Amino acid sequence: MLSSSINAFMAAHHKECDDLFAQAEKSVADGNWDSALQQWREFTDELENHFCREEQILFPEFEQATGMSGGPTRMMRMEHEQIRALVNEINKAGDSKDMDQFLALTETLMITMQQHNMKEEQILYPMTDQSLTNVADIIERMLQI
Amino acid sequence: MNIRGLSLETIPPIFIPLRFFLSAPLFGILASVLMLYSGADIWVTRWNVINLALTHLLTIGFILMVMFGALYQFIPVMTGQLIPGSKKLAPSIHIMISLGVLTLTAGFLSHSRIFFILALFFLSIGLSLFAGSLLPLLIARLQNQLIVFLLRILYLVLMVTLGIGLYMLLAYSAPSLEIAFRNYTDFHALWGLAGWIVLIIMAISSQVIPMFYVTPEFSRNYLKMLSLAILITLISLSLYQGEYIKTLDVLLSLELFIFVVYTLRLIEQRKRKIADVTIYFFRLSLVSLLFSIIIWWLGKYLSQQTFYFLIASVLIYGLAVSAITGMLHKIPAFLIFLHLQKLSLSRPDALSLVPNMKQVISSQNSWIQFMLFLLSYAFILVSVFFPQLTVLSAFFMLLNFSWLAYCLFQAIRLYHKTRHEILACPRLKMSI
Repeated sequence: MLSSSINAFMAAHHKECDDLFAQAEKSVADGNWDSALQQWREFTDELENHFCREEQILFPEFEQATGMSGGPTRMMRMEHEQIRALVNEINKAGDSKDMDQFLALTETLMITMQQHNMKEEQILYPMTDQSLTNVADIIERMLQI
Repeated sequence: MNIRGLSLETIPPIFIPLRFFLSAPLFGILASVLMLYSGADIWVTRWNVINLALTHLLTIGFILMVMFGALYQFIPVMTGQLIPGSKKLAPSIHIMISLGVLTLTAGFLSHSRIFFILALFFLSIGLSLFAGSLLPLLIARLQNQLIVFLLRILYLVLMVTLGIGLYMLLAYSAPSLEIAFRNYTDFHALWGLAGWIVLIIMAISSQVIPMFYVTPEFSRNYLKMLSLAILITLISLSLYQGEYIKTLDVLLSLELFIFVVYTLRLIEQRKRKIADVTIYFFRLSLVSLLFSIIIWWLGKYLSQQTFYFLIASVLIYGLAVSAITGMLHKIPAFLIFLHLQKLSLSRPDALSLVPNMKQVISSQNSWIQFMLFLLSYAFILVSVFFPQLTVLSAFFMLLNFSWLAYCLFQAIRLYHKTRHEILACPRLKMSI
């Protein structure tokens, strides 16, 4: 069933990403690298999908509706870059199967992501719900990505 | 909600929250030294001046200090607005609270009026400045978030606790006013321990546990009703002294008991199963709350002094200092990472210099912290019954807070060193 608000829809996707993240991290901690790397890829694919939904559809719509192009969305794009930089580092740790490095970085990623999600769920998404009139259409388009 | 007033760019400069976080273990060290110096005398009476000094070093110097730092950091993340005037006011508030708790300690130890007057001056200014700058945000029409609701109740309970505290301080400062302040001590302790400290843990848990450990969310309605119920029970306990007072006690115990069981169950359901020291601190904190309820009901089998010492130790050290120590092994390390990574984004050569959280404070150091905390906590509780062990428990407490100070200060050293290295890297012409 489609969510009625951007906030509900995107927050639910955050949770899906969290679940995939937790699975991959647990497998690494157990030393189960084969499934860990597979699960890690599932997580990073979903994460990248989430960023694309925002950067290609949600943010431009918001910027157009409010005229706020240099503000909140610019900040969120910058945080996406921070998160991507961390994911890159973790990929390298995964390639060399360096468990300590992998887990130290996933801990850092987890908190970085949560702070980012909190800002989106508490501030940005409610702003988009308030300023956009074509919510159902936007959600539909984001699902196509 | 006026969206134009909100901004996602409002991360406060790193030293606004960090100055509060870094000072906290120093007051813990001072408390431990006092306990070491006092030895078994500390358990003779709860009116013992060293006891009063120690309690306030931990509650104001450690718990309140960290709470202020955390609010400066998280209010902007949660509401999109900085605490008004934070850049200018935070350093002054920090100094006022620090001087306030030091002069209050000096006042208790020397019984000199001048120190009490100074403490009254510093604390009223510092606390009023903070309370005043937070108030416009709390009464503004914010989104109907759970945390905002909890913060409003927490604020109210803290104001009552501090209000009674400052009133008693006035009595110490001006004996000629003949204020019968001892009547208020129990209310001050009730609101501070069963109210403020419990609500802090509730507020932190509701935010941190689902986020960091991927557990189901806390039920919003449940926590709202629970915090309101605690507030109403505290008001009733303060205004009403009749025969049904035991019913109120049962009510408060039940409210807290359900919270403990509910939160421990959420932790059990977490999807993020990796071993993490902060989750152990949280569990210890919740078990301490459970323990305090048991002590409350077994109180009649204990001497009055033993009862007071046990319940205060369990609530202050076991419930609050434990969870906060766990958080201090995460949040400052994260802030250091966050600020350094932000700095390095426009300098591609610098990205590899940014330390991850575990390089800022290693897992091994965090586990040592947990062991030292556990040891000191166990010895404190045992020394209530065996006062000859007090010096040993003070020694472990000193080790615990010194280790925390070491972990945080070496983190800051790493921050300065890395920042310097990052700034030496060439900057991209087009910043992100």
